[in-house]
Order: sequence, then C-alpha cells, then structure tokens
Amino acid sequence: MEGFEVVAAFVDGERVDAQTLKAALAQPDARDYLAELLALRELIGHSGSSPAQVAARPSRRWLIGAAAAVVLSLGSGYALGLGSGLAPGQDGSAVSGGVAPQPTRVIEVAPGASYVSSVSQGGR
Amino acid sequence: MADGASLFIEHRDGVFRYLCRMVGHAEDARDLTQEVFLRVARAPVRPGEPAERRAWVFHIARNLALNHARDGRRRPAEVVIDVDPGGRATQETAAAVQQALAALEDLDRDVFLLRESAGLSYDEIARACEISADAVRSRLHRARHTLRVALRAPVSEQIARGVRWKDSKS
Repeated sequence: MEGFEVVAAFVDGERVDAQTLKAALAQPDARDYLAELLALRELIGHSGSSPAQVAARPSRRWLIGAAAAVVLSLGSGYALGLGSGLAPGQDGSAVSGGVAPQPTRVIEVAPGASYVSSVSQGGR
Repeated sequence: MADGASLFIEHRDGVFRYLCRMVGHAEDARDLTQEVFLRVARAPVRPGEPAERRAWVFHIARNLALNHARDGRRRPAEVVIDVDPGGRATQETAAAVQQALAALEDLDRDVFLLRESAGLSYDEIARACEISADAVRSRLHRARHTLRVALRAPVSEQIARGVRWKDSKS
C-alpha cells in the first residue's frame, strides 16, 4: 500500500499497518493529503441535505396527494348518495330540518289485546 | 435476523444522504429512501452479518438510484445548504461540489458517495457495488484525486479555516 493509500485507508477507518502509516506521515505530501481528505469530507458533508432539514419541509407531493384523497373521498361520497336513489329519510338516516319521517305502519293499541307473539302461531 | 424496522432506524439517514447526492434532489431522495425500505421489508431473506445487511440495503439503494437516473426522472439538481450556523459552506461551494461530483465517472461517484455520504467500509462498498475491495480502493483514490483538483480552491479555504476529524457516518 503506497503512502497516500495508507493515509486514505486510515481516514476511512480501515485497519492499516502502523509502521507504514508512520512512514507515510513522515512525508510532507502525505500530511498535505491527510488535511485535504479531511477538508474534502467537511465540504461534502456541509453542502448536502440532511434528513432533518428535509423532514422540516413539507413534501409538496405529499400535500398534493393528501388534497387529492380528500377531494376524491368527498366526490365519491356525493356520487354514492346520488346513485342510491333514496329519498331523504328512506335509508334510515335523519332527515334534515327537524321533521319526523312518515310512518310506514300504524299499530293501534286496544285495551285487553295481547301483544305477545307465540311460536305456535308462526311467531306473528 | 434483523427486522425491517431496525434496519430502517439504523440506515435511514445514511441511505437518505447517499440518495440525496446520487439523485441531486431531496424530495426524490426521500421517495427513494421509502422505496428502499419497502423493498427491505418485503424481502423474504436477509443476509445475516451486520456488514452484509448494510451492504445489501445500500445495494438496493444504489439500484434504485441507477433506475431513477435511467428512467430520466432527474430534475435539476437542488443544492441544499447546511443552515446550521456552524456550517460554512456557501451556495457557490455547494454548487461546485455538486458539479464536481457530477463530473465523476458513475462507478467512481457511487464508490465515493457510499464511503463519504453513507460511511460504508471498503468491504461493504465492494458488496454493494459488486466489485472487489481493491477496485473500491483504486476508484476511491481516483475520485478523490479528481475532486481535489476540481475543488482546489474550496479545499484550500477549508484547510485555512481548519479541519476536524469527522467520521463520514456522522
């Protein structure tokens, strides 16, 4: 391993032969190289995005997706309501305006009548 | 066997940093990072050793970045400056760095970024890029030489300001 390579490997955290490293660092060129590698590393690190920086900014794509999902769900809900063909109140939902729904069956209560169903009579 | 969640926690930042540099756009990098870990989660078999798993995750990231570039979905590179008051990079320097990286040969750039942005070891880079460790060493050396020449002025300025020991993983 030549002088520059051993310095680079050392900077990169690789295991190197100590004697080779000592010999390399005795050379001014290798010492310059060491400083340049560290400077280059700082430049690369400082001029790049960090996850925290990007995470702090809302993703435009995400916002568009979320907006599209909201519009789609509102639109499909409206379309389903139209397609069901039910008048307000017929599907069991509350009718707006506070008006009670029309009765579908009227049961009259008469004195002495039994309202208990019996199985032998067909449960009716 | 590590599960997808632990791999995500362990490697999310490194994958994101690497992809940011590879695709040149933070939003695309974030989408691709999500895709990487979706694939990791879906994969039935994961390599056993931590170094192998790391290399495997970055192998997926690299393939996605290459596909992204091939699909022509590249947008103009966005240069994001470190807003930390301690950060000293200027817009000009950041643009110069981006330009110098773009001028590297593709595999040299991959190797360099896997080392400097993701902090992979030579063996891990070799696995991720499917080349030998010697090839990693020589490509890294060539990339650094090219970058030192291209970025001579910013490197000198950085040296004048001072350098500190910094592990590329951090």
